[in-house]
Amino acid sequence: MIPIIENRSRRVLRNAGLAAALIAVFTLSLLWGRYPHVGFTSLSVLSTDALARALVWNIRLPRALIAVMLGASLAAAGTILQTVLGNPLVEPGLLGVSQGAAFGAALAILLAGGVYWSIPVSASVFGLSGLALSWFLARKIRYGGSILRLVLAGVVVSAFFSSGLGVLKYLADPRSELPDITFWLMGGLTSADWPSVGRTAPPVILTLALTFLVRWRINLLALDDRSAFALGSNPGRERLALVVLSVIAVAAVTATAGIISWVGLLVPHVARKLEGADTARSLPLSMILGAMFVLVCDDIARGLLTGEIPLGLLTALGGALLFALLMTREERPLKG
Amino acid sequence: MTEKTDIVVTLDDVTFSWAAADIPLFEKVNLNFPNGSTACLIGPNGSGKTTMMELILGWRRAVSGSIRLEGRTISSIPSRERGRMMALVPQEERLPFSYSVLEYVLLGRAPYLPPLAAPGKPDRELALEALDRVGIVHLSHRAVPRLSGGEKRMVLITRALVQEPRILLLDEPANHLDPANRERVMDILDNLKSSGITLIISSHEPDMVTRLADWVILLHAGRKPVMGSSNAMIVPEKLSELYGVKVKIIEAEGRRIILWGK
Repeated sequence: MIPIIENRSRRVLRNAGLAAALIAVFTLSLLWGRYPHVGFTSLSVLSTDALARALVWNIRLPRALIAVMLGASLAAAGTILQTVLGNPLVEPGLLGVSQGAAFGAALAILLAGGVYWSIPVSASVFGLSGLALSWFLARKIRYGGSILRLVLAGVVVSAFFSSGLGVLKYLADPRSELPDITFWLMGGLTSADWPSVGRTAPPVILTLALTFLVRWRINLLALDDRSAFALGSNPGRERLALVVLSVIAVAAVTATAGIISWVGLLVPHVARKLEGADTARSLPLSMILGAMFVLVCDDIARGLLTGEIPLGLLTALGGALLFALLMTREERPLKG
Repeated sequence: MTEKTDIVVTLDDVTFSWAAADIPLFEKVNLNFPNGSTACLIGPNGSGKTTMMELILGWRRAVSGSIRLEGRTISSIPSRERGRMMALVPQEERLPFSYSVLEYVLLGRAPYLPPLAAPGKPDRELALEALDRVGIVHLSHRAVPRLSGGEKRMVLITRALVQEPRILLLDEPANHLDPANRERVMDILDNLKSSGITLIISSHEPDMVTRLADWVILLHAGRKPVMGSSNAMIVPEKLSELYGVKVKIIEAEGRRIILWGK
């Protein structure tokens, strides 16, 4: 007979270990930085140096919190979108969301330059309208199945927004506005502070909690619509709900962090390699791994050089390398 | 009472066409499937066997007329309850991810679980028991995409069994299988038949029909389906008219064997 119980307790142990690892990475991130000198701030320094305490509380902590939300959201959205669109190469950038958000941010920089909240608000609005446009266009396309239509529509809407972004860059002042746009497009957490945590946390926590709760049922949508229907689900409605939830989480973090690529593509693959395809297990793992990956990348982004390295560059570099490594490795036989 | 309780699936004046302007594939079709019986849909390619199954499943809507399960209009039955009543074994299924056989079979428990729940220990035991019954429990931890065609078909059948349906739709269950696997499918279906489930099978293989079916429905493209007992339908004249080739039926070792062509 199959030793289900044994596998279960091993899985619980592994998840507990991973959660502990995330907490450890998070704590170390708070201590890591370039003040008072490069390296980890010791606890004795924290107890004597008021500036170091303020730094940890006002800069490193909100930044680490945003990094965790960013990584978890992108990875969860990647897992969900890949599963419900039945395509392991989908990432949250598809469906017009990222390009829409980029266009929105650039528009805000151009039109409302100094107002700090204009960028996240405009990025969210245009990111979500990217999704809405893709969805609307998909209904009009008379070719292929429902999933292919949505992906095609996403490609068209993305191209539309990226050409719009090109126009905005052309119009932007090359000395002031263009560098702002470019830096935002490369992504980073320099603007992370308590107000941005306050803005980002509610939509992220809400959407991730909801997707976490339905994590097993997401599996049904990996099947053909007809098979999912025969198993008593309503594939059209359930897929739409999950796509909208993922996109809200992605829009919320993108508004603060800019375009961070590769996390949503890479992390779900790693999670599936470790835990198998069942989203009941791969989705929580994906969230934890995504959070850890972005935390570590951001530690490097802010600590390695005297200047800030754009986070999006690091996740893309690290992500692409890891992805290549993962894809060329021998697949292990599946275990329960 | 308009409905006899021993009829589980009723098609009442059902008309279906792919687009409003098209000539209907089915026009005012009336069929009754008795409880616990085995019915086979036979007909050439394109005669609408799969479409007929999809109509009964509720996946496609009829242009007019009504389809009732146990006396209730199909569209009025809530999704999860429908999933507990009726299961489908498709010919094949898209699967982009490496689910294990056990994980895959457990999806059959979905209609019994509340939206936020995952399968628990009783579901797992039920799934393993069904895998055992179909004879593939040794595959439980293998990845579904790496199975052979025959093994995949067994997995799809097991998932449908785990759904514990009262009505089971099977789309060409023995298609593309080697003789050994075909015999296994026949044995499984034979067992299901004696357990009292209503089976609706589409098949190209009149051999399966002669061995299993109580009722046979002949689907001619563009004509009214004809339903009758297996003995009345599986006769040379009807089959040769249906497929447009010569047919001869011989008996050997208590079984009817169909010879096609000259």
